[in-house]
Amino acid sequence: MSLVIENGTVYDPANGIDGEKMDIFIKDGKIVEEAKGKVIDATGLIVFPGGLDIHTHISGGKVNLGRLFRPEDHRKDPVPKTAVTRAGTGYSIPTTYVTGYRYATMGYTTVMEPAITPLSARHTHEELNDTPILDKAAYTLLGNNHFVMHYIKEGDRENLKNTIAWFLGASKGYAVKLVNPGGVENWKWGRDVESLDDPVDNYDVTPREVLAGLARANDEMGLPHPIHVHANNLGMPGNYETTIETINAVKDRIHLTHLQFQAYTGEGWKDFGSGMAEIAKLINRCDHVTCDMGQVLFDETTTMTADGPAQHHLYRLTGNKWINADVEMETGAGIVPYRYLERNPVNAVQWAIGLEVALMITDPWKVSLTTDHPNGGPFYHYPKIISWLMSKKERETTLGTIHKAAAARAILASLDREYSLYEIAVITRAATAKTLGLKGKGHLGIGADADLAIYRFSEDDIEGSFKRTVYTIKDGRIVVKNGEVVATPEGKTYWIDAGGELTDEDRQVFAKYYTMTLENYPVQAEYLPRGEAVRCGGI
Amino acid sequence: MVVLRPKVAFTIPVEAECISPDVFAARPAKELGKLEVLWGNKRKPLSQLFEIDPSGEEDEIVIEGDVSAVKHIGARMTTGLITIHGNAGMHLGTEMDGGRIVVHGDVGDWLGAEMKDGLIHVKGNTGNLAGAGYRGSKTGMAGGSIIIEGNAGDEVGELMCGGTIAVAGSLGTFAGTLMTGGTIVCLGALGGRAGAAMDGGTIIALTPPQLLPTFIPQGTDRPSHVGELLQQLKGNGLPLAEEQIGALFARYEGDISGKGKGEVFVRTG
Repeated sequence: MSLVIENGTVYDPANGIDGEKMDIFIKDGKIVEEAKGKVIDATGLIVFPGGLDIHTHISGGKVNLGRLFRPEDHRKDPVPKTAVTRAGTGYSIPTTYVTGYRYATMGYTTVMEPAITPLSARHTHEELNDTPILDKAAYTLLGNNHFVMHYIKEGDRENLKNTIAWFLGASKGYAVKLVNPGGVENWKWGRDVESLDDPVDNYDVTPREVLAGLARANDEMGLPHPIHVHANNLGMPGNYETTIETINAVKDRIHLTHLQFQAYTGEGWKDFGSGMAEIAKLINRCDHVTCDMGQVLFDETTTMTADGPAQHHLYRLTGNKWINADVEMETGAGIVPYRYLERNPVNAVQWAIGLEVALMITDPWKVSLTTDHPNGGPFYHYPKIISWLMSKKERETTLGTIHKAAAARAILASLDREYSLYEIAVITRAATAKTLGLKGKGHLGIGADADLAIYRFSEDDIEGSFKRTVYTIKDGRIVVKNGEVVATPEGKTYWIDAGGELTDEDRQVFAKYYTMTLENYPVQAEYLPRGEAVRCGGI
Repeated sequence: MVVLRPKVAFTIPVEAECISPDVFAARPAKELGKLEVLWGNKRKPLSQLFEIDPSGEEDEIVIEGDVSAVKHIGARMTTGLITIHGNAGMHLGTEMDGGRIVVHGDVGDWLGAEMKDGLIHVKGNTGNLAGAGYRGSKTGMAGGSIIIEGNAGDEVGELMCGGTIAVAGSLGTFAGTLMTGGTIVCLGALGGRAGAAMDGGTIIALTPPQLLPTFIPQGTDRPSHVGELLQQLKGNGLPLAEEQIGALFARYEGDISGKGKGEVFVRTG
């Protein structure tokens, strides 16, 4: 099937195209030089590559636990079926189908589930398979993994890489994810780590060693994405220092995720403020660091992370219901509902810091737009965030309605920078694809996947412009037309095939301590009917 | 006044949130038939299911016939009166914030769930979870009154934080579970595990119940506020005898497995 998109105003930062009127040709799911076929008249419309979300919790054990314990969340957002879509529910933890439809309606075509435990990876992939339209991948939690910490302690770099490769293959994961390295292991004994040099109980390693070890192994293996790091002390006042230490602890590539939650000054909640000035100064100097925003919105949501101790802290702060989970040998998890309030000084400052991440890091190629869905707020709010980034006036309007702490204890109010459409295309498409190492995504060059989003843009209603596309095209097929889903093809799931094999010693440990036998552990190929193995530099 | 008469015997459930004085008052009488209801999974105009007979101006809706398969009647209403001559379905008057509903018949589950204000008077029996909070909610009924002349099912007043539920007949198990405020009055048999995990609020039992061991007796009295409340409920149509109103009550505090700030009054003489 071929398509011609005529006369649109194209934004394709990866190829340096900044608002040029041009035609785009699509054939067999790819962008080609010339093709004949159905013509879409894009006169007066803007054409972007399909959006990519680098960090969104949409699938797996933890997300599903969140769904199970928040019936009140679903009740406020029922979604009826249409001729082509299934029924489901929102709101902060939407059903898999609604997740696919709503992303596609916003012009997003590729999303990354950022935390799978290998032990429940099957569940993650089952849900990803049921998330229509989108291409997907998932990051494997390795920052508190028994084998990883063991080999880092031993200084056995070859076996560390071997382990990483094996776990990525066994969980069908795409990247190495660290969540509060060492802290989640300590949480199993009722403790956390407070600094990068706090010892991890029973392993005699420190978070610093885990970070540096995994970052080095990750780059030596040539994995497409850097280590994806949810740092220590997330959500704690004064944690910007931990973040800076984390950046300095590694010499290899590192992606700091939901940086907003990691950029706080202050001794406590009373003098809580923004630490983005220091962090931005450092990131602007470093070439090995990328990040995503983790913007918060004033809305009710469900926080969920593998960071058990952080969630226990939030549970103690809010008194809301709480789920805590231990995943043997691998990680933990916590879930707490949360409402960000405009009149709450801490929430107001958090809102400002999220925007500072995007506005104070000078190179947009180092930033991706996220809310850490659903932690900062549901992904449906991305258009609102784009409007804050593109318009100082929009920011001032919000600053006028929220707690004055946002103006007093953050730098945001003094920032004049406004994103252009080109830069928005960078942080929602091109930079994200580049950071992920997905060569066929995030651009419209010849040979790229034909994933496109076509919007009707109005300066006066930036949020409305990005809320729904005029067309979303996935693999050369129209999936959304005038904001309505018209087709629901299945997307691909990328995973890293880097080989790797457990040693005899590993097998013995596995047999002794896991509740599952090794034979039943790895996710079989059948679980990824549309899986796409990515081979890497390898070991 | 608008009279609604079912045109069909409902065999599948109908969702009819539009049957509310607030919605009816906002439209000219001849357009009421165009209001949408869900009949199973199909959208239908109200006129296809009901004969609609407008007469007069007052914001009263009268339903004549069996609507036990019709859900959400009077949901979120804030004013006016709904009178039902027949049985009514689930979620009657949920989240209502004012006005009155009178049912000359039985009602299904979730009657007046999460209601904030207003009065619901049921002459017959009701199902489970009257005045309760929906699954996942932190609080149930917060204000207003529910008067049930017959019996009520299980988990009545679960999570309630305000208002009054008065039942002339018996209550099922777990009445007032997790309640933090408000009052439940039961003239008949109070079911097992009443007030389990309650952190506040009051349960008044005129027939001695089997309480959980986590309720601690605090002495016997003729509390004036209990008498006043019962007198008021009698005025609202609850069939109470004078000796019940002026009775002697044993007071219990509980549930001490939690905060223990709730109280249960049990008639002793």
